[in-house]
Amino acid sequence: MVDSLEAFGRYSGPATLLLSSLADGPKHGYALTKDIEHFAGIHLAPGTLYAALDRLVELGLVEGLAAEGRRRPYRITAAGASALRDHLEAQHKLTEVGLARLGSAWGTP
Amino acid sequence: MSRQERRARRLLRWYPRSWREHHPDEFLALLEDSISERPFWPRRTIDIAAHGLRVRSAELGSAFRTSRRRVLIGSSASLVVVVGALAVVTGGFGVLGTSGPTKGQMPYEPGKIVPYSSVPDYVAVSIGPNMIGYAPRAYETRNSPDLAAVLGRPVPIFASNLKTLLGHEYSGVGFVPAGKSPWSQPCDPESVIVARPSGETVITIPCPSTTIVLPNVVGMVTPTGMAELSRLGISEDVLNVHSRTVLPGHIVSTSPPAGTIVHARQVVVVDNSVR
Repeated sequence: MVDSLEAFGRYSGPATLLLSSLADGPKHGYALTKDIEHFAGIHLAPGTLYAALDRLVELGLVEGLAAEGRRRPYRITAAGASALRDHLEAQHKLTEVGLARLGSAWGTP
Repeated sequence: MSRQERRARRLLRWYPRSWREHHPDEFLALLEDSISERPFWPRRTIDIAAHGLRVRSAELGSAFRTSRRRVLIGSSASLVVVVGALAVVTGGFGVLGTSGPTKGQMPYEPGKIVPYSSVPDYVAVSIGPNMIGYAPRAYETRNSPDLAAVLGRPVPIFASNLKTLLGHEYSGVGFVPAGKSPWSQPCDPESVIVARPSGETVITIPCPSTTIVLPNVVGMVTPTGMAELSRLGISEDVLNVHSRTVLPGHIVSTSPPAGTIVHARQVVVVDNSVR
């Protein structure tokens, strides 16, 4: 399986957060920051947010909608949804293996 | 103008104009919201400065793609002719069709940066006022501490590469007399034995008169993509480029791009991603 978010390297963190936030509907920059802070406890700085957003748009994983006043909402594309799913499934598998090995060697908490 | 807006506009100046025009108000609005919410947040300034500078350097970088081409075949460089110092910008390069190699003067001007795209495939070499032939183009290596000097300096051409004006050597084609197209040359199809884990295979490299539609190898692991091109009879030259999006060792792009009709044995430049 090709993990298209892998191409982000050190930006795969912000990219995953952005795609996960956009998964339930379009949001503009500030709404994205607040939503990510709410569900992940991470406050993305504006430069990091837009660098990741630009890359996602460039790769066709996210698209910009018509601006609403000064703010432009962004929406996840079908390619973005599938890339996010692949990435999260790979992460999920990793989590399961890690927890299982921790459980067998160190006992469950 | 509110205090937040003033601060936001000041931060925005870290980014180049082109980027600011691409995101006219949305980024400014986000910065103002961010400043209203957290007036004192040093990490925001550092973050904006770092990303702004990165966008700027990426813009610069695309203008200064330099290479490590395997061109200077001259093994024992008995004589090194400094082309740049002798060449004058004359324009009107002797271009052999749009898909073929170009030849002409090195577009060198003292203190000026020469864009990669303006350097012909075969550079005219002069000794004093007399042009004595053409040599494959060459570049200074990357990682130059002085970005402005990249390609701006004279490029040495080894005399052992030189051919007289009666004709010139084309990579993969051989010696072509002046006034003849390299694609019209008679040739013997070459057979090459390729060793693979599954055994040896013989592939036949067609003559330059054969045309090939360049396949899309972007995103492939560089050796795999190059093998694919070689299999079709295309020669490759590797250019290392920095990429933020393509994993190291993978192909970022080719020049000419996929879909272009090329001649067999024509050299296609493969941009290989490096950190």
